[in-house]
Amino acid sequence: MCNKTSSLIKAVSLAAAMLPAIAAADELTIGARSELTMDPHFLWTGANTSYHVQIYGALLQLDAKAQVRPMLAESWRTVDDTTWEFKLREGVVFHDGTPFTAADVVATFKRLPNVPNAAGPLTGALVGIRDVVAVDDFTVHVLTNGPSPVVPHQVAQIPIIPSEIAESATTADFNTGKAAIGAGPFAIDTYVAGDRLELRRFDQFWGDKPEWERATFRFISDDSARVAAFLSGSVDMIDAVPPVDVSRLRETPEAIVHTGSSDRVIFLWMDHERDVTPFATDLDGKPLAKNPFKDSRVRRAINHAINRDVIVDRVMDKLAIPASQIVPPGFGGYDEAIDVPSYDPELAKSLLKEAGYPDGFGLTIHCPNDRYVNDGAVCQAVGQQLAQIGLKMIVEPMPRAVYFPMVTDHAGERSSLFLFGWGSSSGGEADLLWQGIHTFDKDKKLGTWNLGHYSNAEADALIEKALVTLDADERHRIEAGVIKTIMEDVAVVPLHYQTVNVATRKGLSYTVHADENTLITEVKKQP
Amino acid sequence: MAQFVLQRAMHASVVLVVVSLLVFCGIYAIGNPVHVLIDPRSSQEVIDQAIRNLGLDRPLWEQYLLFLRNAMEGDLGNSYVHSRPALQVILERLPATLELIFVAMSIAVVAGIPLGLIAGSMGERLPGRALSNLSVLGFSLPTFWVGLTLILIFSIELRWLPSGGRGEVGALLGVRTSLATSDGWKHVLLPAVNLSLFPMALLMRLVRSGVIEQANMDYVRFARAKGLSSTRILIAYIFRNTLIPVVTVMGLVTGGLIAFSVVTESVFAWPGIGKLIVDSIRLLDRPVIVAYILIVVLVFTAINFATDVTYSIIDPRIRLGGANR
Amino acid sequence: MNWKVVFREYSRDITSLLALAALSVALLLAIFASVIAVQDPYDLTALNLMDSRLPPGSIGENGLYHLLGTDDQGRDVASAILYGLRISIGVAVASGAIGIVLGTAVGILAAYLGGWADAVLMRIVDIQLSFPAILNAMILLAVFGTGLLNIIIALVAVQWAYYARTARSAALVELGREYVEAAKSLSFGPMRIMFRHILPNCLGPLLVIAAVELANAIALEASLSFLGTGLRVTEPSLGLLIANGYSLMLSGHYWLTIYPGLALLILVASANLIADGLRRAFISRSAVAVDHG
Repeated sequence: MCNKTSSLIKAVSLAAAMLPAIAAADELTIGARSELTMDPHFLWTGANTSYHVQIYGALLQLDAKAQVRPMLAESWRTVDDTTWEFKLREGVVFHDGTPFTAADVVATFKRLPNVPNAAGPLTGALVGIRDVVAVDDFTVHVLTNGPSPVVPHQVAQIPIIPSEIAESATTADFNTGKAAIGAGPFAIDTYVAGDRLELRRFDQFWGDKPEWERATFRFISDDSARVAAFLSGSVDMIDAVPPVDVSRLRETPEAIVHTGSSDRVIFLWMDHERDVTPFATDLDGKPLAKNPFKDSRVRRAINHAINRDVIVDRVMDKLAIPASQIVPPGFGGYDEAIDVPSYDPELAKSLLKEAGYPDGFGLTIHCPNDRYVNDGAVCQAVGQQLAQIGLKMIVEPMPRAVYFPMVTDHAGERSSLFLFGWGSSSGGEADLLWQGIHTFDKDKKLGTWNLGHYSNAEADALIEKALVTLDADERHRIEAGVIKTIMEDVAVVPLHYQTVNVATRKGLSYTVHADENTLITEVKKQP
Repeated sequence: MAQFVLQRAMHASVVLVVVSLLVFCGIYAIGNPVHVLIDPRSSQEVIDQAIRNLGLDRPLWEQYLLFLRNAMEGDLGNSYVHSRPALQVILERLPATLELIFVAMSIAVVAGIPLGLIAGSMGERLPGRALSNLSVLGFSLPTFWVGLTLILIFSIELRWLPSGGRGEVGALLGVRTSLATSDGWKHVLLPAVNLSLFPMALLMRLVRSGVIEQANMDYVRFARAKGLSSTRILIAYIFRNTLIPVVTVMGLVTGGLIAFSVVTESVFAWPGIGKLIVDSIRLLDRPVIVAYILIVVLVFTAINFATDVTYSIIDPRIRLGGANR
Repeated sequence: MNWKVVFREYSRDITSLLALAALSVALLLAIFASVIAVQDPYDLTALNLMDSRLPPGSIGENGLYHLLGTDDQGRDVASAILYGLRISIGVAVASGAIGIVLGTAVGILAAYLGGWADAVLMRIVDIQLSFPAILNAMILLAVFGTGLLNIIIALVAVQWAYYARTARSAALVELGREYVEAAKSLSFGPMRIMFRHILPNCLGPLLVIAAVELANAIALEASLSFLGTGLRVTEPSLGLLIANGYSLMLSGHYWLTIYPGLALLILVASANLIADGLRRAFISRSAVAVDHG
């Protein structure tokens, strides 16, 4: 090994070895990639949900495997086809001492569509939910348009606030902290925009007393800066550890890396709909007369051209799992009988030849470079592998600010082949089926995220059937059936399932959550 | 004189309007920002609602006129991401950037001027030229590269200083600043050094060339003939005469540091407006981008204006706005 | 402009000569990159993902000797630097050339025309200059998208105003001299006066600015790549190489950042030193003999 490398490793290890042992203090500092939005109903993102569930709490919460568990509601059941009943926990108080009752839940849900200027209202989580009413002080009914099996997962996305605040507070009140009253295990002490969030333990929390009296989230969005902060001892733990740094951190004696499976699958969309697709060209650069992706042989060729193992090994540093379908194992609808498409470049080339492209064709692949783990690098690797079966590739990673408007503009140019990621925790199962595989249906609110414009009538019918099947096993069986069909049809090209990586100082244990939430309550001091 | 001031003020306003229009349209052309901010799991109806919330469904010219009217009243729109007035978001982060610039310029001045004087007094001799060439390094090194190296050495290997972020804020003379705490100083040191390299090098060269230029002047020769020591001449006379142009340029450079700090703030995760603008561009937070550009242009125009006026006051030989016919 | 004297003055300082040599070597390397490099780093079929992140001195699966190691896509770093030099220098020279032509034309025109035209043109220049270069470029790229042509356009937009202002100042000085009055009284056309008489005497300061702007353009392109608004990712410039290597430096893969960084440093420093030398040479009295010819 080169001298420079070994001395650098030694220096880093030595430095890391000087990380002080956990102080007896009950203070925790976390270096977090994402910052929160103070108004819990302003912007629905995974990062915000992660913060707000710890400050405000929700009716239900997701455990490490993204299964729903009681939180502010103790039990739940369906009363009839269009009604879910939630029995609320008694004796819960908010941070200001006021008691928690059904009125607070109703007022919260009423606020959701009425937050002025909300960029991403939480009503997006409530597909199929018609109304929320209080039956008595500790019972709430969620009324749906039709049978809706995913209501428990949906309500787990909604932070609950006191009714007085829901009725009168503005987003500005939340920003100053005045209205930041919740029923979660931690209360807000200080918030400095762009810098940090300081929380203190809520001693009247109904659940297990958290080990930490104070916790500070420091917002460090830059990957290297976050790792540097951890190595220099400024923070006790960091989330979203870049895969390339994981092995180095694992070699560091004073650090532990906690890895777990994520709910997110990374895959490629193709243009299934248009007769001429703009980014598939002949070798001179003119668009092909016929959209190659409409030929299933071309789609299968792409499937087999990709060496998922190498991507997982070299780009994701083994911190991903090659994917066979659109949900990770452990989620409803997952079918273990479906295999990861084999890496077979010769088969890919012959399929292309059969389809009429013996010399390949020109193709552009688009992807974000700041949204998913190593998305830019994955995109380039895919480009490399497709080039090796004869396609003349142009790789176009771009900031998500440019990428998402482009691929979601259903009337615009969009893309021909593009990268996407989907986390299934808000549905608890293969919700990509009705959000992204089903043909776009504005009235039924289905297929909003069907960006490739895939349309399979048989699959559509089965998906709609699954949506109203309340029995979980039956529903999952139907979903698995649909997934098998669409995977054979190569509706999307699955790449890999991500993992969640969190690093803590030695002496701390952490239970990783599949929905990628960073939870203080999961950080425990080891004896 | 008054006519000149009025003329310049008018020009400045035109600049502001033109720039705001250009930027506003440009950002709109990228696409619908809602799709960036909204969670993929939301339904189409929610997306439509969000578009209405942000006023993005009205025609472009209507959006712009609305913006102009509000701007006159000091309201530059609400940040999409931070759910607060864009102006407020910027002003909140401005102190951090100002702190950084203040410390960086102080370092640049304290190190740059003496070095420049030394380099200048050595003139064309080897040490002088060596120092001058060394100063080239100061603005040839890529800022982000230097920043990461500083972090690697001082933060990770030596563990003397934190690797990023801003320190604790205290009160100094009634002003809330992180320079009031020792923790604050520990945090600001590395990024300030990083940011100071460019102005330090510039200052060194300016002072040096100024000294060399002055050293050839008659009054210096007279002073030397009178028997004054070189050092005395240097400090008491030459230095003072180089000060005016140096101060003017430094004024402009300080303003430029506001933009220049973009890279340093990104590397050191310093919560100032530089990092804010980079993030806002990435997230298409239109109100913040427009407000930021307007403020920066305002500051620059003000500095330019002040410089021009100052120059004309100091040196009446420079005629205002006319050709030398 | 007595060029022989200029060169003699320039060569007085050995550092200036070294800088000129360095930049010339860089230019040669850039021109002959495709011959010297062991691999075409922009050809996706030549890359092998299994060869990614090899340390300097390794031999890849296809037998290539990687003098400076490989990056995270399997690109040979030495080859990438050579091709990157091509982009950095090419972009800087192209934008500089266009900027000089555009800016000088505007500047001399403004000086010659005077009055309203001068005021308007200079106001535009002021607007341009009141804008910090990096923000200017970032916004332009955000609006028009990335890509080689757009980067060049953005860099031209950032630079031309400097040339315009310099050309105007120099031209103003010239216009006050007697020979111009003489030429005018001889009914020489304005174009002839501008190009044959004024322009050559502005060349000195313009050349100095050109060298400085060359350095700035290279550095600005690198910063833009670092902030994520640079060129095509599969054809990385030096700045993009450093940006990619940035995230890998903490895990010990230093070669991705150090070597492209050194290359960038040498490029920019050389250009700046050349500017220094030129400035010194042009100031020296014997060189500035006004050409009345």
